[in-house]
Amino acid sequence: MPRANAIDRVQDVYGTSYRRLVGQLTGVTGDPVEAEDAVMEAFARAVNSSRSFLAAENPEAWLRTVAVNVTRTRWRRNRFFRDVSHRLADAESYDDLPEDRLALLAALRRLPAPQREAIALHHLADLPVHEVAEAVGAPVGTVKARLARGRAALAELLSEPDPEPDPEPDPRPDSERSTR
Amino acid sequence: MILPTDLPREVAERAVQPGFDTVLDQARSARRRRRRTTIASGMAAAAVVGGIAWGTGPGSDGGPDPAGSSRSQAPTEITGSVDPDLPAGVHRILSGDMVDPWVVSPSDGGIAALWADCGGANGCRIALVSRLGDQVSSRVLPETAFPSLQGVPGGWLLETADGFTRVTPEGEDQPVYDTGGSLTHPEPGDTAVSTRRGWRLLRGDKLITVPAPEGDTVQAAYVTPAGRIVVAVRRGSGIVVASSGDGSTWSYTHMTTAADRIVGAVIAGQGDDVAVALLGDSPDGSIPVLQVSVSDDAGETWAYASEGRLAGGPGGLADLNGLAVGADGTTWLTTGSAGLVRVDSRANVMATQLSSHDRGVFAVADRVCLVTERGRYDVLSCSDDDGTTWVTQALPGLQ
Repeated sequence: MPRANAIDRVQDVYGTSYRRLVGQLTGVTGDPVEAEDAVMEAFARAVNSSRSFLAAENPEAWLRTVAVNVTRTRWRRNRFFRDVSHRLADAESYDDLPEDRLALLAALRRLPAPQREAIALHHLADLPVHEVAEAVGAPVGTVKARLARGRAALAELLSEPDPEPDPEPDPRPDSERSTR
Repeated sequence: MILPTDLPREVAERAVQPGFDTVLDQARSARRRRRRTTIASGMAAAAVVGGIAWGTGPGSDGGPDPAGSSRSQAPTEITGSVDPDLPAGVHRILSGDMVDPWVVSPSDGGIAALWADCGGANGCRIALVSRLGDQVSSRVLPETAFPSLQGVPGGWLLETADGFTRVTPEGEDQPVYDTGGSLTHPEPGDTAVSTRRGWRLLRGDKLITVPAPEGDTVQAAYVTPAGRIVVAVRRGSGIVVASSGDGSTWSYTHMTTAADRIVGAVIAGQGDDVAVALLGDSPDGSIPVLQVSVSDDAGETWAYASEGRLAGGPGGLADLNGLAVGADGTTWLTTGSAGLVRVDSRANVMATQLSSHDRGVFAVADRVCLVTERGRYDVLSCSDDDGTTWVTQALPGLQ
């Protein structure tokens, strides 16, 4: 069972950081409701990983990293947190977002995930590049490259509202087994 | 391009924050769900380290270090992307939204991963990818019963609905036959493996029923390089650990009863060093690690890890998902509660969590490795200095 003082600490951070994290993660997911699910799961993990959470210098950064990982590793939610797949949030809360915000979210959802994460955390959540690198587990140079590509792709998407998505590259002709 | 940077603030203003009880409920639910996966993965970990013991025991040169390719080569940046040269079918599975390295296991200088993508509506898609130096072998497995994979001498024992196959590090298949049959004496070179029909000894191309005292049901087993077997068996409502040199005369240790609330056991070993973890069942849904004991004489005598971390109370270890014994006799656990945990030869317990989700620890040669969480894909983290420093590398099938 998690320690009582750890739960108190998680509760403190929950009170101050939950909404901010949902806002930051919305760009990462492209969907505020998914962001709420991911952030809630991050707090649940903080309760269950109290030692690691308490040891973190920046609890909000710890939660942000976990939430980013949650959005990228849906399988884990399915495997370990299967019953949590229901929506905790009411999507109607966000119906009154300005049109250009909704268009931005739609465009973000069409970006490759690594570029979307970098754009969302750096340009929308205003994190410095090194903190983005820490959150997504990639070198700073890689994050910068993703930002450059992401900006270019996003500019194109926002200027052309409904372009056809790029087909996925076919890595190699299909075969059942391979040794090389 | 000007982005509307007010978006996070505008979303935050609209977010409806549930009460903190929702967080606690979700945390409790997560622990309950972990419980259902822990026993199976713990058993798989025990089987993996059984194979490792062969690779490092007497009479074996141990071969190249499957997880240690970075020792002789400059570390390369992990891009976290799927190997583009994989066949398309395998590539699609590894690119799945919910893909996971279900099993990661070393053998004979190679390392293999069983990848499962369970995100579709039609069950799981499974791929096996192994790596030996620069050589990568891969295949899509039939979508039938969920396969199992364990490191054994000469490769990996793959169990599917069709039976058993030994997959070599070169990607070739060798048939293995489950003879069942009567109990037999363990022999040097035997490897204890877990199968759907119970524990078996792998001897050559045959699987033989594991001997057990008085016909008890075997929960976990390990065979030393000299052929001494250590088993954990269920007896009544308790667990008994016993060892034998001939499969008929047994030395009993770890006698537990129903009052001890032991629900399972996991065994791992390397050479004559053996570790046993006894698992309980907590009302909160977690599986506490109630006892860890280590032996350096093939199960004759045991030292018990300090109980401060093992009583299932606050700060206690829970939700075991890996157990391994290093070349120096150090025991390593991966747990859901504290990540990586080290138990030294004096049975002192120290948690050394590496990521938010450490799992699947194994030891090979003088290295200890585990799967650590890192972004879209997990990575393999290995240490050859008793956990002081760690080197990461991509899992098979990734770059």
